Amino acid sequence: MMLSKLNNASIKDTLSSEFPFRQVQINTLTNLFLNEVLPPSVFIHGLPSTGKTSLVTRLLYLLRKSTKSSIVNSICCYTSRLLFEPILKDLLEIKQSDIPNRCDHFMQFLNILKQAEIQQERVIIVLDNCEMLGHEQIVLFSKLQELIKSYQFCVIFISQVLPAKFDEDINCIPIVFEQYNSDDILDILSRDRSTNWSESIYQNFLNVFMGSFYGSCRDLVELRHLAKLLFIKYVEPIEDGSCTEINLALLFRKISPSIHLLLNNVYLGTSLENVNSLSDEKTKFEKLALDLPYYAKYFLIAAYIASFNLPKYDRQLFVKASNKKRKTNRLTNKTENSATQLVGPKTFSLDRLLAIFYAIIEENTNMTANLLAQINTLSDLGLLIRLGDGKLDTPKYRCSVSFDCVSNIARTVKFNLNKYLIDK
Amino acid sequence: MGINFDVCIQDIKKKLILNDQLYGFDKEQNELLQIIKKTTDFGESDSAIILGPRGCGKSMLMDSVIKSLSPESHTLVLLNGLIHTDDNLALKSIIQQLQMENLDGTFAEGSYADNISFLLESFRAGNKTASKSIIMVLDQFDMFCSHSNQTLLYNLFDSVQSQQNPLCIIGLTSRIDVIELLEKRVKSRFSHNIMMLKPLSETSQLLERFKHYLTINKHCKLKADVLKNWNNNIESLILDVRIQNLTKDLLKSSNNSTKLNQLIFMALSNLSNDKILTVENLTNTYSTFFKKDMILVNLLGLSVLELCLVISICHHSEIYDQEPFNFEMIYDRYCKFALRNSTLLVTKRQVIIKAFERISVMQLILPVAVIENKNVLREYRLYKCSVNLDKVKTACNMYFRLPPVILQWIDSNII
Repeated sequence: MMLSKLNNASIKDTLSSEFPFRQVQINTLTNLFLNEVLPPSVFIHGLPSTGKTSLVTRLLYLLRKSTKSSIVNSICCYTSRLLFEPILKDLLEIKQSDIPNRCDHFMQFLNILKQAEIQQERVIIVLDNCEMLGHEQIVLFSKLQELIKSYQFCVIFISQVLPAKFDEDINCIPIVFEQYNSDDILDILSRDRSTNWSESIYQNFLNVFMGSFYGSCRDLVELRHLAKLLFIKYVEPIEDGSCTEINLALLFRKISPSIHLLLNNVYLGTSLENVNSLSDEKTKFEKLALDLPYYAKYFLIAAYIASFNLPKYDRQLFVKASNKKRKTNRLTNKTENSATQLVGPKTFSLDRLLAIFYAIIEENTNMTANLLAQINTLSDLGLLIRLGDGKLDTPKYRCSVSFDCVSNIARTVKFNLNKYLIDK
Repeated sequence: MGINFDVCIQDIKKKLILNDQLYGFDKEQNELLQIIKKTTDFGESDSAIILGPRGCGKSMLMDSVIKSLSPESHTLVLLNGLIHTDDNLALKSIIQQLQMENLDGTFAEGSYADNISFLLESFRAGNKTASKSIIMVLDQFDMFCSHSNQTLLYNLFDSVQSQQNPLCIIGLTSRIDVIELLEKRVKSRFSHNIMMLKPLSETSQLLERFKHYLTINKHCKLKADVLKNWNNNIESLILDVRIQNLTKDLLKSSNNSTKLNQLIFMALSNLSNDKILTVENLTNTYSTFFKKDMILVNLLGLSVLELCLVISICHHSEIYDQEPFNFEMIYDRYCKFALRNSTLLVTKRQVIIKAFERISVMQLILPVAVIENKNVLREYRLYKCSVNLDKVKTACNMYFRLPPVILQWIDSNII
């Protein structure tokens, strides 16, 4: 079937108005898909949030009258059945339960498509995040046009991974979605302005915003989210009348703590409530210092010491008589061990953990089942990692919490952690 | 003007996709035809393997031979190693394609043992003169060799040897060591007919294809002047030096015509209906689709923080001779740099972890162990770098408004 020229032009215009700065990509895509003959397969590559999926989805929506399409996110398809059946469902316009047989293999998939006489129709299949699919599946899908024997059949791959990472024999037409540059992003962000505020205020805000965030983040989705959060904060002084719109310096001074705060939480999914609570230093500290029982805290500290010190230094550190010698030794060893922090925690045995525990805890405690249960609790909580099945050997452990966390815990029990770390 | 080349363009595109014209290989075509004719005409079973690099025309050769046979003389069974990933699927497909399920509906669904004994019995039931011959084409033949015990291959070759129902097995593969993949008992039953196809190696051959793809043949429903106009234009295109250089370039990167197909397809798609194909169309398409350095585009799209991490990673790999690294090492290296240059914002660790993860999602760095070990913490997972320092340096020089300290840092190298 031929698409009318008028229709094509209108599709192109709609897309151009909805996706600014994607003119090259829109041209290529419309040239390819607003045509009678479809290419075998197209590979769309681009960094995260450059509009790959949304542009293709929109294009297919506009084409929905003439073309059947199916868009599948490959992350969901951990078995091949979960990949094939949704595609069949979309293309044959049936319910999942109506698929005649289980479709576990590509052979069955192909048979069903052929039986449905898919050759008669224009079909586009989109595989988003295609790097999650197996290599063989990608090869097969890229050859699907050849196997179905129809020139109205196309598969679009979308991925953040370079096409060069895939095999040579996947002959796709590559289309690159380039990252927006700073002016583009500024322009796109300025379209988000709510009508309550004048353009000059928003523009001033965006200049401040881009100046501080552009360095650590170029992801459009994240930037839009952050800008929305921050703008509410930015206009607060204007709303309550403590500052005029023109006083940019004062506005900047008022917003800069929030900027600083958000800058430390880029990509971490911050919401407006969080912005307020994050500023509270105390809650943050308590959050990190985990509400553990007294002995468990000491166990965790002992585990951290055991993980990051080599056993050969235990004598120097914990035998009280040799305290004087320690200082000199520490200096000489410093260069040798500076890498231990970098390669991660070492494993240690239960015996060593207990020995260190008794060395660092001031009071006398009896070894009871209660005490040992604390260790199991810690490993259940994921703060310690237990290695091996522990049947023949005594179990081995590894500490899995960061230095910040342990030092916070040490502060709550008034324990000087740094004294016991060779490396710090 | 009023001349509309739309029909021409669509026609050529269809031709490109169908891609059914065989070039050269006349000798091979004859040879293969002889083998198959022996089966179809005289009922003598045989087997052969066609060997050749990807895209050199193995399937095309097969198709052209089969097309020259009369359809009544044989039954065709097509198998593909990528699709029929185990013997059971392959068997079911054979039975389906032979339409043997008509004989007894239950078998195609039955167990593997049922299916294979049914198939072998059917083969045995046939004889040299009365039965219709079967041509079996195994595409991606090397993948059938990895099936357990090569049972299917053994049984197929065995029935070829024992002269039952006339059967001709043709394997298509690009693996040169395919014979070594066969087990001894399978190898001894194979006829050792191997046909080697050479890929094209001369620019003139590629140009010839170029011409063939783009010329429109006479029996196309078109006005004579449009047709003439188009074909004359193509003639002049081929004589152009730029096109000849372009084909030379193409041949350097791959010795099959798939890249050329794509190039022409794209160039035609970008053409508006009333224009004629020009040299600029082709060269522009070539430079946008095949000349672009994707890694560079990727690197230029990173944020400053992510780029700094990539630089740290490259420095680390340079110093430690491509040893794997984990997040802590890179974080340490980055912090050393950031603290010395107060102009650069010292970012919180949690944000840097996220940036590091983004780099690994883009596969600029790859984990050493493919399956994530639950016992190793995220920060200590080992990665390998897949970009090199020179590329990062070029990217840094092109990067828009990169802080100069970073440029100095990347050149200062070892810290």
